[in-house]
Amino acid sequence: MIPLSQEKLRPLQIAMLFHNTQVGVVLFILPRTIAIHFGTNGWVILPIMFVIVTLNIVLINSVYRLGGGASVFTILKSGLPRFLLIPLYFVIGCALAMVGCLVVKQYSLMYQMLIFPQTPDMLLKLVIDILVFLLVTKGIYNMSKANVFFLTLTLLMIPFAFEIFKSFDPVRMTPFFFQEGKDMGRGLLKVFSAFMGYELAIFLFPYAESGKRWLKYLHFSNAFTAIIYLLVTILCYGFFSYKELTHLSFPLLEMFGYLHFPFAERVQNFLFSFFLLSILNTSAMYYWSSQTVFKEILPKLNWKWITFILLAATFAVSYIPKALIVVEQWFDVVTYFQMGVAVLLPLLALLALLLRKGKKVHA
Amino acid sequence: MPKKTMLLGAAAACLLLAGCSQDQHILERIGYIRTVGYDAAEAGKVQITLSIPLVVNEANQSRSSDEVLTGEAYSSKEARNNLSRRISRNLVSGQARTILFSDRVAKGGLRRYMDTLMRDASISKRTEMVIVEGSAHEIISGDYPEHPRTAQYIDRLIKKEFKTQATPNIMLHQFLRDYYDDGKDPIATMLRQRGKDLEISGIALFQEDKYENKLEPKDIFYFSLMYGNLSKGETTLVVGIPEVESVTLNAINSKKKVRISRSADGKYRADIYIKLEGGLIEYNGNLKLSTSDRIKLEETLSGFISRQGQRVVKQLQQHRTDNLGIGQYVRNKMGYKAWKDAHWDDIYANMDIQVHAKLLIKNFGNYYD
Repeated sequence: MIPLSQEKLRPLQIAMLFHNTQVGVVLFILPRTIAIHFGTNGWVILPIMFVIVTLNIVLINSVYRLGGGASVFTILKSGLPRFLLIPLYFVIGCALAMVGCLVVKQYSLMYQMLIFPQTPDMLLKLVIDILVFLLVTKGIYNMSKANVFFLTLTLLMIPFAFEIFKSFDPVRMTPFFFQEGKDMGRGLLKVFSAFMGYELAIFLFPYAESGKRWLKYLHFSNAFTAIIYLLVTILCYGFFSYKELTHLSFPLLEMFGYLHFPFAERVQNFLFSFFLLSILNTSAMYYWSSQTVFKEILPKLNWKWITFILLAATFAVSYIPKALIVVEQWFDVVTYFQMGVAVLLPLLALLALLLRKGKKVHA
Repeated sequence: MPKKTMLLGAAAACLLLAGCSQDQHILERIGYIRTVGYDAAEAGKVQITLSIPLVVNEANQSRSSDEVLTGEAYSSKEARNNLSRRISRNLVSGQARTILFSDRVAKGGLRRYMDTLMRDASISKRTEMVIVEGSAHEIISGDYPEHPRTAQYIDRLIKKEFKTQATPNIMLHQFLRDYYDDGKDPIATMLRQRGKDLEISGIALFQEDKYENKLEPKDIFYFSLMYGNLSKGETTLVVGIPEVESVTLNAINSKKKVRISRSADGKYRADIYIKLEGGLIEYNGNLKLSTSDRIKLEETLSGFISRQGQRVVKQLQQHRTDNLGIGQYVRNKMGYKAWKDAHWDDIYANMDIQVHAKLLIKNFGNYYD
């Protein structure tokens, strides 16, 4: 057997890992967000956003190519002074851990609303956090293997689209584009944040199979995410009327609620519980990334302890946002940091590579 | 103890503790509201009637009945909370099957009742929307000795009608969807008491959230043909001429298409094309169906269905209720601004709408003539 430290992530596993990190609770609210901000036929924004994200992935990939597959921390260290990097790492680490925390918080609040209205949401969150901890401490390789199973279970829901398609009428979609949308700038930010998750690839360089083949799979994962988002959003536009869609908190849940089988009705709660697996993966990926960042600041501390401290600290913070809508607002703020990791961190790494090259030339 | 076991133990403890929460649901202690009725009351209030099935098991004998509660309140949730003081079980809405509005309430507009129907996550969007001729309270509290228990009777009667496509499938989802669509007005199933029975008495035609007019049962078939595609159903057409006094078709299959055109003077015109096929199971008339008379029969019936459809459309136009969603098609032909500036109500009321039906009789049954 290959020792764990030498095991490498396979390209397809990486694709599945990132797809499942990108997709999460956001799938339940995305059609409404798009309807509010982009109006009629707002789903057209998804392919546009897909192209933007693809360019971003190209940027991250170029760091891998130019850095020769070295870890992003090694690259930054080689070109930039440590006193600059420590505060940067601190901010990034905190932001990533907060994403991991908010994802679970949002899910628990929704779970509470739907299934356990009287149970404290923090208790639900605690249970999920324990699972996240167990998952993260297994290491990235085992996380990716577990995720194959997680993703398969969530993908089983796709055939339900056929059932929903029976009540789909293109007439309701109207021929108008982007009419009645408000505040598109904010909408762009929200749709961008729905694609977030791919930015963590930058922390994965040392763990991936050597060679550049896996980089292509990042695009594959992103394309698959875009397809799922398109499928759900277009279905919503033809299943509900446009104005109704803007008034639905969780359009996907409403669609699931409409499904019924000879043996069971109101299956939405059951299907919503399935998404726990996707949430687990998303949260675990963010905590895992946060942990690798903090490991750079505190190299002597055991990484499992770092993970534990991160989970405990963010758990305490998550007592502050008590309502679903507040969590959504917090997400808006955290998205800026995610965008920082997605765009600025690779640029900074490229700058470090450039500076290193400069140093070598002068030496 | 290994760390793993400890952690698993902690997780298990959390799950066990979750069982101590208030969210336990013990079937016998919960009153699942099955039917909700809304009637008009004095001073802006509404009279709410709830029907909750009750099964009592005593000495190996089980007896089932409906508990019916009535009270007046400003909103349905207020009524539920008030009424729960009179019942030994905890009232929940999660199993509501039928919502009945009296026609008087519906005439005043349903907007104020829709909030909780949309907001409350426990209410299924598959709940049937029914408008009652007369009092919802009387229907729910009524006794129909020759039928199943009242709440079940109502639910099953309506479900069966939906299933056989005898009336369009209108549940909360469809009602809300069409209410929010600016090119369509919603409809609902109508129910009334008739002697010792209940009866589907037509379709309630809405204009936005207000009940405007009733479509008679004899017109439901023609309306359904133009409302959507049928894949089953049975109907009798009474033409009343020597060639065709009456025919009954079964296994009906239909497809509708709406075409919008615009004349030179800028007026919109709609053509509704209906293609339908079915089998013949009853025929009164003097044609020989195994000869070329068959084509004559098809043509006669096609013309008859077109005329009946036309009449139904006229009725809808007179009451300015666009329940067939002609507005959706016109909207999709217009530019966004033109549609928003247009007074659709006026355009619709005076629009030229033509119905073209084409019937194909697939078989003539076991009798050969």
